[in-house]
Amino acid sequence: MSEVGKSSARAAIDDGASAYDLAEPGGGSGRTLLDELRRPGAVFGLVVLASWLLVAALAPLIAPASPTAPSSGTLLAPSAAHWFGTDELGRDVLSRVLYGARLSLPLALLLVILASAVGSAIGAFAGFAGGVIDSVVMRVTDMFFAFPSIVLTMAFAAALGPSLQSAVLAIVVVSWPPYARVVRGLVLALRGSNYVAVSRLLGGSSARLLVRDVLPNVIGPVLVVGTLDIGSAVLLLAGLSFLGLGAQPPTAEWGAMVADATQYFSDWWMGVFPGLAIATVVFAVNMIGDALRDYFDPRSFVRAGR
Amino acid sequence: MSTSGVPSAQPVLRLDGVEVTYHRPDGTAVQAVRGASLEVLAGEIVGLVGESGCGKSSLGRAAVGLERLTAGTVTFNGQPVHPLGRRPRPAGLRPLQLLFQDPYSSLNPRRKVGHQLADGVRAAGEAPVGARVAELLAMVSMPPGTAQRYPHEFSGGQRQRLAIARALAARPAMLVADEPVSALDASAQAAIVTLLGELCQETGVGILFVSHDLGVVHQIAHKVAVMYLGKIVEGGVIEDVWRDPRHPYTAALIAAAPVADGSGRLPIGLAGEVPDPSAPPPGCSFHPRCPIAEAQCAEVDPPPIDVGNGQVARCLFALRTSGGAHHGEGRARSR
Amino acid sequence: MNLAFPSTVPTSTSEAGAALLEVKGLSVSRRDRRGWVNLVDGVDLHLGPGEVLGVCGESGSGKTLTSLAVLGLLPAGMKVEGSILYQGEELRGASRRRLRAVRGREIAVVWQDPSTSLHPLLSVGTQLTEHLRYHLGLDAATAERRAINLLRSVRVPDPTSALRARPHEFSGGLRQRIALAVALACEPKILLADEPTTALDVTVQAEILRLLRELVDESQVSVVLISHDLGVVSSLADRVQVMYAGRVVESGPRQQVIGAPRHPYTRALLAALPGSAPARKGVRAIPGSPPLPGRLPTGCAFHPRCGYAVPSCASEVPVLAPIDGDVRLACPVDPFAASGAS
Repeated sequence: MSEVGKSSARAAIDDGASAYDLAEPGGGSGRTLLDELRRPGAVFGLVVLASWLLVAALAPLIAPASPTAPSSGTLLAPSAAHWFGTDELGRDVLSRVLYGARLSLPLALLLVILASAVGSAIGAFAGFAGGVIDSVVMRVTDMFFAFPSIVLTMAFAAALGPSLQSAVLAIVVVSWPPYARVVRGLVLALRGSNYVAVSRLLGGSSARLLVRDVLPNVIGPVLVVGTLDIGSAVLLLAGLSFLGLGAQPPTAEWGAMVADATQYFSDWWMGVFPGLAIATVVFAVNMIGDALRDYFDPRSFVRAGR
Repeated sequence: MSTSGVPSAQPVLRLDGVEVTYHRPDGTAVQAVRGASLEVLAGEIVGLVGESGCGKSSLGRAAVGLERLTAGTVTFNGQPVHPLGRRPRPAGLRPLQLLFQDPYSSLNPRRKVGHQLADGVRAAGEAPVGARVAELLAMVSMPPGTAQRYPHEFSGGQRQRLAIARALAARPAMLVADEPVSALDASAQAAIVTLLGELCQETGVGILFVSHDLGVVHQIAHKVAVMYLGKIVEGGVIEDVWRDPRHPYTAALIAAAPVADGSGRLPIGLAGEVPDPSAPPPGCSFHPRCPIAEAQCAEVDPPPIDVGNGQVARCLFALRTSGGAHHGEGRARSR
Repeated sequence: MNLAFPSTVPTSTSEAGAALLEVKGLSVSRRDRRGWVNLVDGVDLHLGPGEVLGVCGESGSGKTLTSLAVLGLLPAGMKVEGSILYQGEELRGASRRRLRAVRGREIAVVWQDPSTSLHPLLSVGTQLTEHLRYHLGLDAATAERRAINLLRSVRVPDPTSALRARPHEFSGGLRQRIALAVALACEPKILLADEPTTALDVTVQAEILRLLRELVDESQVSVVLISHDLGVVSSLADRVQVMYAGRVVESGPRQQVIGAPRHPYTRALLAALPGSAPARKGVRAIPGSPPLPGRLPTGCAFHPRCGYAVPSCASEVPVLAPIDGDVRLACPVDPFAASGAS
């Protein structure tokens, strides 16, 4: 860590940190995290997400049929027997949608956790190291950022063979740059902050500094980016499966289901229901992410005048 | 640790010929501090006064090691003070602490107050931590439950008390207070100033009180040093300097302070602007704005001139007593 | 001093006493989870031509909100009650067009921080002339000449080249002078100055205060000077009103309110100032802290911190009532009635 007090450090705050200020949670207006999560949008999001998580957990118990074995005639419209109809192989669409949740949600969560861990570590390293190392790391980050995600994932899939595992790896590779940027910006800002200076004057070592002063301030913004990223992860996974690069048949995955549905346009139930599933999850997660962001990024509030 | 408020002979903090230089983005060198020397004795409060751009904050930060020196030395209890680097601060320097101006940014918003105070306690190597934290809170008149709360639950004045408590936790022998009350309301200012005065009396800590407000410094300090454009232009016992300033800039500062007496009398200003610190005027840097400047002032940079009782001024006419001439309207100040 | 604009001294004696600005019962509230929170409560304000009214108070006293309410610049979601009469015309609830016409032309503002009140990307000349052309319909050449004269009147050196410069090229003091020039460009009748010198060094502040005095004397513009600094108010204001927790607690001529205050809060505020006590005998801090809006104590908002409170102070909200002469006091106890000296 280079010396505290270099005014250049203060000037070097990148786009990553500017949105995630070092200011107080709730904007000093006294709103707590719970206050934010109580607002209608967030409540809706939480309810929807909780429902989906419940579905994912209970799918084997509540699904009326097998997601992979045919249970009736093919391409049956929605009816009392099959609420979401059946697909081109006679499989119950409702069951497939329910089981799809067991795949998409945990995978999306895993993706976000991996990407945020990798990205945050890289960003923190760049921020603490400073100087040339910082520049080099950030330029590499920019390179990854600049690649269109689909192209990169396709390249990975081609190299590793199409499978769920390669899709996951590919998505992590594409998703870590935003975390790196945010964390690096925060670390730079924190290094110049007064309370870090105080810690150093009191004799803190770098490790203690990292844990006590930096980490608590970094968790919030990373959480915000991560939550909003869950939606993107679901979409990316669906997209890859749509392209045939992720989940392979006969696995019930929402994106793959939508892919199959493109050939059976008049049998609208095949694509609409998995599509709605994707949409509602992404929407719910975004509502929650917005609430978190309103809490952690106080500039969205009008601060009470002093 | 001395428990009386009487300053002792050994300086706790000593600055000698300190120079601090910054570089602007375009490469120009700016000398924020151009050779400053002062010392603070144990149990003494020294005020460092100046307006914006005079370098007082840089000097304060250099005194604790938050800025590198381009020249000169800083010693704390005889030990040299090195700027903070990669390695943690040596234990011998921990009794040298800094109090920041902005109470809103000097406390980590995501950590409980108690934990932050505990850092200071552990830095002093003391235990049990909890009891000492409670003791510190009592010293700054904050209720014991404070330790469980977060900084944003408190007002500016209260946060500044918490920052003082944290600084006290390290059992400082020397405290550099960088404009500690400038961001506060009048009533909070008075409370903090009184608190610092009491702490100095009770614990014998030396305080370097950096401020733009000579009135506040007059309230609390034993001695004062007035800075202009990187140099200390006058210094001495506060009462002497206040009653009989020997540098025209000090006189101007005194005359410019508005007085709340209902008289409607306007304070006296100072013409001109502070020069760009990267290009200070030749000779005495105050001469372009000085009401008593003469030709020689543009050629000679006045050395510190001793006018008696430890009062020193960098002015070629320092030995003339002001007798109200510098004050303009000659308001009587002593009560 | 040769000013750019002719003075607007009232020509008939009947105008001289009439109020330019008469605010009665002004209340500003904001929405909270629990309902409406009062930030300004029943404030009266009276301003005559050529007069400087000082409004003092600490942060949270509501002094800035009062001026924002007069200008119609409160953020959305705030409720304003009471009457704001400018030259007899009601401004509260006036149309946006009318408010836009009044702002800048009749009532102008100078804020604390000139680096945010001046546009950073436009040249000083553009900011001045734009004002002149919008409100007075001047053509470019006349506007430019006026702009140069304005800069001269606020003592900005080398006005002609200053026109082409941008605000960040000037120091804080010069920026505030430019902000004053912009404010006074259209010869407004009222200037609202909200902490105009707080961000400035003390020597620069003294210069700006003198400039304000000269501008008032020459052009008879009326000024509402809002400041937490009683010294600033004491040097410039003719009349003073002191605010605490959204209410006016004392008002009257400057000599009385600051020289011989009657309200315990005003006294305490003066006693807290560094200049009030000999060195190291201690300023007296006011115990406790100002109440948060919406959590005012019952009765008099200051009573928990007041050394002279009696039991009725906790139940009755004091009314601002006249005592001797022009002084009005919101304190039924009036502990300093007998003595006049502070």
